[in-house]
Amino acid sequence: MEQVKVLLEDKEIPRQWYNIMADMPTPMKPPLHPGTGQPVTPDDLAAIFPMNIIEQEVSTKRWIDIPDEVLQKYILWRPSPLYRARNFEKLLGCPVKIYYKHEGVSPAGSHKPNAAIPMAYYNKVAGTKRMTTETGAGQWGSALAMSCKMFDLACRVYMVKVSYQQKPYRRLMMNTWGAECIASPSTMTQAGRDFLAKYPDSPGSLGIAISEAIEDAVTSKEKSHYGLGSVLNHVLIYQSIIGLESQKQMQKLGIYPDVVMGCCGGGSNFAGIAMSYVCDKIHGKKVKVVGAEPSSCPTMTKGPFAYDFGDLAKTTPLLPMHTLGHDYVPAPIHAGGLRYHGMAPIVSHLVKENLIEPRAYDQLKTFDAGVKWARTEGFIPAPETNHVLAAVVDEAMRAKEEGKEKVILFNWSGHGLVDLAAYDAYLSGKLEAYELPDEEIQRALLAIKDFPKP
Amino acid sequence: MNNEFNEKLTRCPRLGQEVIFSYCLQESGELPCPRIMHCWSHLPSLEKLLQHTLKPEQWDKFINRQTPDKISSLIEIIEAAKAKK
Ligand SMILES: Cc1ncc(COP(=O)(O)O)c(C=O)c1O
Repeated sequence: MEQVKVLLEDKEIPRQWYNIMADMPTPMKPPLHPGTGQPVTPDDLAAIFPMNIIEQEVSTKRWIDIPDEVLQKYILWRPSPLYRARNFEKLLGCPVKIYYKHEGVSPAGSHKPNAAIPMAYYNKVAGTKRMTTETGAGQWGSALAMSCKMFDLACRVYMVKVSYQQKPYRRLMMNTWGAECIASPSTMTQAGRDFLAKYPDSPGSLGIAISEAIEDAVTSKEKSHYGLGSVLNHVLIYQSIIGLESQKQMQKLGIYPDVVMGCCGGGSNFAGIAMSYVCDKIHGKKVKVVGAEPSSCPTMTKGPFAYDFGDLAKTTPLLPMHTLGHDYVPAPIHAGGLRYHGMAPIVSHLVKENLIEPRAYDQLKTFDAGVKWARTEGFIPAPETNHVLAAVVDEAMRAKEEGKEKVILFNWSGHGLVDLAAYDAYLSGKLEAYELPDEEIQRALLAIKDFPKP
Repeated sequence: MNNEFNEKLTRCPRLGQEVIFSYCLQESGELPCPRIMHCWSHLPSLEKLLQHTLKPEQWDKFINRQTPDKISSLIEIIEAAKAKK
């Protein structure tokens, strides 16, 4: 029988997280306080994070011990299995061996609890009584809800109203784990009330939900802190367990990957699988590390497009040229306007150092890859995970073109069982690229004429 | 709004769900989502639509908007929250 899974025993779980900050080839610019222009100090963040977490946020220690209490929770599903995707390989017919870490086996269905559990634990140790956070469709909110319950903390999640209304299942998961889930904007906070007074029918946004979660933590009478599910250094450190386990598993097979891949939203699961390999790369190992990010425009994938890595001087966003096109190309866009800093600074920095290669895939390509995956390997991926699947398909095709054998390792960040509406939208053609004729623009304008104007 | 248009969805990478175009147009309350150009770039008429929708000063604000990095934006929110204490 062909070997498909590599499992580690509970006792083989890594005992330390890895922190890439110890191995950064060049220093990263410290974040600046928007008021003073001075580098941010731990005290600036003390209103929302406990000091033990802030210490990790600024730490340059290579290895950080994983507390026993956290390991005890991790082993409910960790070490997660490493799979070989033999059926997907057959479908692609390319000279590649494809291995993946299955992070969909966690109780919340994704990698998010890898960070939520230590976050809840460190808060508990610091005397926090309750945690707040914001969530969109609920992946992070549900992970934090579960983790808070594990350490007997109260948890309140501000869920963007449009998601609260359209995505009941993750909200119900949060409730089942004992968390309070509030539709944002809400009347619970001043920020929410102010926003509602101005825009009573607002469907909400992540921006306002974050403001509510932070205000709640800062102004609460009970000792409360806030938890963020991606982007920040400490989150990336906690996720490093994915890559560290995979190294042990690949070692059992006697194989080292040629390419390591992950999908990038805020960068946490990608960093989780990638950073221990980036460390190897810094120390001379030959390995390609690829981060796959979303794009809606198919032409983007051809260029070195890096919009979310947009604070990089060397990669001018191509997007505005495509979108604004012929008659209006405002200079400020090329100078940096419209950039959205959604990516972890560590990941952006490593892209700048040429240690990570960003690639963008449009949503149709990603769902196409996700459906192919489900029809061969069985597991239905989260739509976010589909980005890395598109990158894997792409890499396999490149191997075929180059006539080279390659070993690909990637992170399968979560399952899509609570996201089947996304598959419905894809399968029924609602996500297709769409050209807007003039008459429809007029109708659209009419429909939005009452939208808020500054 | 015409049904065909209204039913067109895109996957919002920030929320993790599908949204209709009008959500992205007013995501930030006063302005469209900073990612709108990116997520709806397959609409060739996007620029025309935005220019029709936004007042010139809004358009200027929109294209020149700089979103701060995460830590800076957290600190901005913390300071605003402390003021409400
Ligand atoms: C399953 C899954 N994968 C990936 C992501 C992207 O987040 P990150 O880049 O922080 O891993 C998310 C975010 O919600 C997710 O739910």
